[in-house]
Amino acid sequence: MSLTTEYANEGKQFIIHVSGRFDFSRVQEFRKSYDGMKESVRQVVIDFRKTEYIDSSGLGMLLNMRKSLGVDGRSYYLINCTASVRKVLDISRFDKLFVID
Amino acid sequence: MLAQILLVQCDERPNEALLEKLQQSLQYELHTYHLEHAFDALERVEPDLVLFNFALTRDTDFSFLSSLKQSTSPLYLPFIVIANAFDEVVQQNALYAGADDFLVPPFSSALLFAKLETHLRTRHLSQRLIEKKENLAWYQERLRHEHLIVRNMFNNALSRNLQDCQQVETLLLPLSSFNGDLYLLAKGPLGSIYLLLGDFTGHGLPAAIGTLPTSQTFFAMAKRGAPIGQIAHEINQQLHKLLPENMFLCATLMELSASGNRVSWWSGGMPPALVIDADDSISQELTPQHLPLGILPPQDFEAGITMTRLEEGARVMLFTDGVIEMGIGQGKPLDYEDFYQICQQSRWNMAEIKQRLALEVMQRGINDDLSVMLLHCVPTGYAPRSTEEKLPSLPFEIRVHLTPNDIRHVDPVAQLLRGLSQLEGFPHFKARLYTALSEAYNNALDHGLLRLSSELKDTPDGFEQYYEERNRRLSSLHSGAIDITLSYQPPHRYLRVAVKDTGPGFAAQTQFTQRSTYSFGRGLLLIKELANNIRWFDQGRGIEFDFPLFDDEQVAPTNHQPVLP
Repeated sequence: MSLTTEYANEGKQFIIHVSGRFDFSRVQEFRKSYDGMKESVRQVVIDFRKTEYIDSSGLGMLLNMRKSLGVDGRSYYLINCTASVRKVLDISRFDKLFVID
Repeated sequence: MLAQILLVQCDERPNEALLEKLQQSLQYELHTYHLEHAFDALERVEPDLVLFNFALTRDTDFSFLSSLKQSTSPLYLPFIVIANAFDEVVQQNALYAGADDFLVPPFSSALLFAKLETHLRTRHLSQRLIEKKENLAWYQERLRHEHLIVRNMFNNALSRNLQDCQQVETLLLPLSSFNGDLYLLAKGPLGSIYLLLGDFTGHGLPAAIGTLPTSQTFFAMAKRGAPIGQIAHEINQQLHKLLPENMFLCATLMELSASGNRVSWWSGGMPPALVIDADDSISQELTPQHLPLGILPPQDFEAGITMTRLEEGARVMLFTDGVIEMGIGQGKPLDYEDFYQICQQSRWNMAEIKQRLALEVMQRGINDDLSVMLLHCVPTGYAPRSTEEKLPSLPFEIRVHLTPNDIRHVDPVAQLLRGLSQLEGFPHFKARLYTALSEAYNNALDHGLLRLSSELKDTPDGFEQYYEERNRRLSSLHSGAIDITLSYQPPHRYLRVAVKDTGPGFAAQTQFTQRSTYSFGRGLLLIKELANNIRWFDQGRGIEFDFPLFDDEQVAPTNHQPVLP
């Protein structure tokens, strides 16, 4: 159970890997993971390949992140979603705010 | 050991003078036999040298000498003829017949011994040569046998490669029977395709030896769906530990997403991979940013990957430096431009590229293993499909009554899910069930018992404040309870879920309404989409719904309109 981050594409991309559950139990950990993220980042990527569960507080955390990091010149990607995570994102029409694949 | 000398006498009367000379020396053991026992004597004595005391007056003497010589092994056995033959022709004939030397009496002991020593020395050389040849043959056989075992292991290791993958075309040309280039292909649990194209230092068996740990790590991690950077890190660690200092693996690791429109890649020491757009132009070169695998210790390793989005109809071409090193030794190198040109002219058709490269190899010669790989970036079709899960045949009901103390110390949703996952067919639904159950439970707790207002979450820092306030109120909660009931009645393919709290009911439930904005009314929306027959009971203190135990694609039972306040 952990949350790891890495920079990719020469610092233009920031990837957060979420494993296990993505709900209110991760609020602070998630917030900290992007605190102090480099200004150079143009794409913020959440990699859900290892995420088992997500609920509406997880969705709230994503929106909160987007709000706090800003959308000026930044885009947000939710990638490698399992069918269940994808379903939750689809229900809430997150495809309007995030690039999902 | 004394040299064994066989003296073959041709007449009854022994040559006294010769015997006397030989017996003077203590370096030889002398065995004297008559001509007619010569063949027997060869076997019995196993001499190091044969002396013939011949008259050499008859032709039969020569043919006898000849057949005796032919009966000896390939090991040089010197035949020295002593005869009173002053005629050179006789001497010549004796030599042609198989004699190795000729002595005409009278001669001194010194000359005789010098001759014997010379021939024994030659025999000794011959002996060593034969031993070396036998050793060589033995080593060769052992090597062949070992290669056979290793080849078997390699074939087994690589047999895990994904077969019949429509997206990938390859050209693999090893220089020897073991390939120092490595090509691995696997599919991930979410339907992505993992690939590795690598080139070990050197070629042949020593280069190929790293194939085993690399492929094992690759396949195991791909199966788990690990990210590319992690796989690179792990392989680097393995190779750093195992390979000698001067050996490493230049490699590109790549993952094509199930959707086919994104590649994540890590590359070290390889020629740049090419992204080819639908119009056959090279739109990007994916230049490696790292050192090859196996060089840096784990703590210094850079696992940074690059994600590249791809246009529809795009392809990615990867190749090892064997392609552009072809012909270098012969002064006729094929450079990058030549190779790109070949590909362009072939319109990136792999069959045609193969043919043209084969021609180039014939003309220029090959110096290194050579591999080319073309990845078609289209949806992989490997994404997991839904199946009709078999469900338990036994009906059950689970009732959970949670007091404030329970709520503080246990995570009932996670625990219930863990229990349900033990049941046949349930693991398939657990992620969605978690979401639905978690929404109902958190609603009961947050708004029923803790009386929190979701509006707090709308302010800039409110999100975290909300959860801090939640923790504060939870720690001082002394009364109230939450009841969860899960019931399952086969053959109905649903789990009926009821969650009830002792809060004020609808008076506090205003937060839990459907809002179409991207705000915090998503909880009920999620339940509505994930479950059927939602209804409130006990003035909004309880919510009940049927969680379907089948996939959307299958025929769903009639979906009643949810009863909303």
